[in-house]
Amino acid sequence: MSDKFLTLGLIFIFLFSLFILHVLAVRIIEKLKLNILRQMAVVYITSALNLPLITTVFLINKSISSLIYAFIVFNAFAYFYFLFFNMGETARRVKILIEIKKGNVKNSSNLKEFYKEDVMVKNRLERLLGLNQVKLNPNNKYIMANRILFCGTMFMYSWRKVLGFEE
Amino acid sequence: MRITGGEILYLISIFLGILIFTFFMAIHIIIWRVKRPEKHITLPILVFAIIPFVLFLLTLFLNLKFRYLNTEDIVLTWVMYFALGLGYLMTYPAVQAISPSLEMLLYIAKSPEGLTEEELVERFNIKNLVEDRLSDLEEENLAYEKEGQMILTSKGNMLASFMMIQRKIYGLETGEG
Repeated sequence: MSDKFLTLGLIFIFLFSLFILHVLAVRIIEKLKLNILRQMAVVYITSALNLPLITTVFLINKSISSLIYAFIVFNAFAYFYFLFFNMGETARRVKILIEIKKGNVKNSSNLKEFYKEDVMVKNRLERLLGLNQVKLNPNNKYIMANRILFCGTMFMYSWRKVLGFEE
Repeated sequence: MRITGGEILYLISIFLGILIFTFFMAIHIIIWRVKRPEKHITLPILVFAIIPFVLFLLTLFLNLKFRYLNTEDIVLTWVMYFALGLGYLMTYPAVQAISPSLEMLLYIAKSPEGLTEEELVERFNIKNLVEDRLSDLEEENLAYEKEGQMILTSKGNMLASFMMIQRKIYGLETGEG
């Protein structure tokens, strides 16, 4: 097998390992009721897998560009996986579909009873706290903790303008 | 470290993969600015996944027939594209339907003195949180309302089943949404 196909194979093995390790991590988090956000587990595992991956890729290819390639592809697919998992956690459209299928949501009026603004806000605030994007000040008010996701938010709004969405 | 043929070919795959991604992104921007599609899920999947996959198979097939490039370089290039393209595809729903979490961050960032949970709740309502998403499902032919009852289409049923299996793999209940 050529070095390039070996490299590709390695990237996909590591991606599969990310998936398996994350499934195990989520099950352990739930079983032991650990105070770790399930989404953050993806970030931690991805970070940990980067070094062995690029080390192995370098040993096979002995080239810097192969490292760059493996780094971009692995982390881009890991990002895809993060969002795919997050979809099951937070996507409103997915939840509505599942609740219709389960028979919990029967019509649009029933939907309004099923979803409460305060619960939705509370859940999201808990996630933002868990992701260390916001924190509570001494007055029990939410303030910014760091700006990473906020930068992402500004990018989203700018991108919406590029795509021609209304404000 | 000297530049070898292999070094250059990886760089070419990176460059071409990004170029292909830029091409499809340009198509996406042009279509959306000319007439934003109602099908917010189907059309991005077509632009970033289905059409590129068909082109990938076509380039592989043509290469097997005419041998104009190394097969592995074609595969490397397209894998680079799909890594970027699928990543964008999963990001698009949060762009199209502004994520309440990100909107919340914006409100908090604009209030240096901070916001209470109650103040944040006042800024959201069921229409922008949920009803608009229900319209999305109807526009995408995933669900519809008939005689006062919400019904899933076969497409919606498949997607719901798939996501339920996803949750089961992790040993989790349905997400909170």
